[in-house]
Order: sequence, then C-alpha cells, then structure tokens
Amino acid sequence: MNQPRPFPVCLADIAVLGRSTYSEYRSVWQDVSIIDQGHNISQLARQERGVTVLDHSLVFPTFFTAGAVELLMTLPNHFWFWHVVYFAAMNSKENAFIDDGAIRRAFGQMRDRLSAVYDLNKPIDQLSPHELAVRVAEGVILFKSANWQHLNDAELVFNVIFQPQAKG
Amino acid sequence: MNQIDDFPRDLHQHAGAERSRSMEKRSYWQDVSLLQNEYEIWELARRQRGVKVLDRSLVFPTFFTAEAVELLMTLPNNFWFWTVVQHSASDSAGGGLIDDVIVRQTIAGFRARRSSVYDLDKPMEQLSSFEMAVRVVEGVILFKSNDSELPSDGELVFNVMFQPQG
Repeated sequence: MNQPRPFPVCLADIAVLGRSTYSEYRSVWQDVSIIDQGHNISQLARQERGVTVLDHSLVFPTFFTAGAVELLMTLPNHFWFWHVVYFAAMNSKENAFIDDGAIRRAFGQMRDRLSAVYDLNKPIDQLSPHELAVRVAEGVILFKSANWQHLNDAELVFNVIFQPQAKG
Repeated sequence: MNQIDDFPRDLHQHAGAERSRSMEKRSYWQDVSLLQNEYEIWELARRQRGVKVLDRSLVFPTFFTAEAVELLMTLPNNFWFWTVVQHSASDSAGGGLIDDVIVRQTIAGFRARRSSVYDLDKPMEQLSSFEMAVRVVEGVILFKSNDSELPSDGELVFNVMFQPQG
C-alpha cells in the first residue's frame, strides 16, 4: 500500500465533516448500514491501498478491523457513527488498524463524560420532562421511527453508547 | 453605501454555512448580539459597502433595515438567527435592504409549518415528557443556561419564534 500520511489523521478530518453534516440527526435513529461512505473516505481508502478502484464493502475494512466495523454498525445514526470514528481515529496509533478496543474506549469516554453530569442508568419512564429533554437534546435518548421526519409518531430508545447495559 | 443588487445571494450562502455550523446548538439559548463581531459577516459587509474600515454596529444594517435588525436580535440562538437570515435573503427581491416585513413573514412561515404538526399554543406545564422532548429537539423549546455545555442546569423556555403569544 502507498501510505503518504498516517491515515488516522485524514480519517479524523473526514469524520469531523461527517459529524457536522449529520448533526441535525443527532437525536434521531437511522440505519447506519446504508451509510453514505462519501467521496472523501472512498478516496482515502483507495489511496491507502494504492488502488484506483475499490469495492464499497472494502472501504471501512481499510481502516478498521472486522470487529471494529461490526461495532460501528451498531451505532444508531450517522452523527454518532462519525463522532465515534473521530474519537477512535484520534486515539489510534499511526497506520495501525483501528480495532474494537479503540471503539469501545471511545464509547467509554463519551459515557463517562455524560455520567459525570447525570444518571445514565435512570430508565426512560422514570425521567422528568426536563431530564428527558436534556437526554434527547444530547442524543443519549433517540427518536426511533419509520419516518424520522415525523417525530410525533416515534418511540424513544436509548442510544446504544449510553444505554444502561452498555457500561463495563 | 455601494450596494450590489444581488447581495442577498451572498448573504444567503453565508447564512447557510453558518446555519450548518451552529446546528448542534439548535436547542440552546445563545446571545445573538455577539454575531456582529464575527469576522466573516463583517468581511461580507465591508465588501458590500466597498469600504476597508467598518464599525461592527454597521454589519447587519448593511443588509437589513433598522426594524429588521431589531427583530433579528430577538432571535434566541445562532442557529435560528442564521436560519431566518437565510430564508429572508432567499425571499428578498434584491436591490434594497431586507425589511422587517420579510423577516416577520419568514418567522411566520416556520411557525405555520410547526403548528401544522402539533399545538404550539399548549402551555409548557401541560406538555407530556414526549411532547416536551419533540419540541426541544426541534428547537421550539430551548435550554437557557449560563453554561451551554451543561443543559441539565438550564431552564426550559419557549423559542420566541414559536411561543404561544408569538
């Protein structure tokens, strides 16, 4: 492979852009298996592998181990996907595959930061309107609906990063 | 002032970029009076007026009438400010300052869209947790706090664009 720069640096830049692009959907559940990989990350993957053509299914495995990709695909929307990719890339070593341990550490950092502010283990049905509003605004609890543009019909679910059983 | 007829186009473009940048704070109250100090809009205003030096207080009057600026300054955060500016610039015919009528029409448009989905006149204390959460995520109700990083300490207030008496 032709590797002119450490890929985690480039990947972090792409993740910042992705995070910003999808910030509107921070509080809404989406299917990340159909995530738009985008031109930038596909280009970075081709550059990393030193090829001009690359199947879409091989883009993320260019940077992540299979275990890490599997974990990323459990994330609840595109905002959180890129948010985790950013943290994992920033914490990774130069040009080494980012593994599931790095992804779990990113989850842990986010969870620790918010659990210092409020009780993440409190069940949804026991939250006051204010407590629920805080958690929804921050994307700790998400609206899940077949049509995410109509929140009135949605159910509320925990973001997998912050759900009570995610600890440890 | 050296007004260029199609200035709303540049303003629209700039507002769109700023709107994206401030999207994450859609549900949090901020002081919009600080926006006149931002470099990029100041630069756009200087270019629009064809001057090298421009007092910050003249940034928004470069594009809007005094009444429109006054109205814009009541908006509750950067996201809603730039959203309203973007739509107002888009709706403006060009060739003159954007006035308060256009800004009011823009705000009314947002209010009409939301009121077709749920009851904007329902008082906050009568909202269920779910109804409150929907309104907060959409920026209809906002967290107002001295520390925007800690919304859990903030009080919940109606966005002036959507409040019952609005």
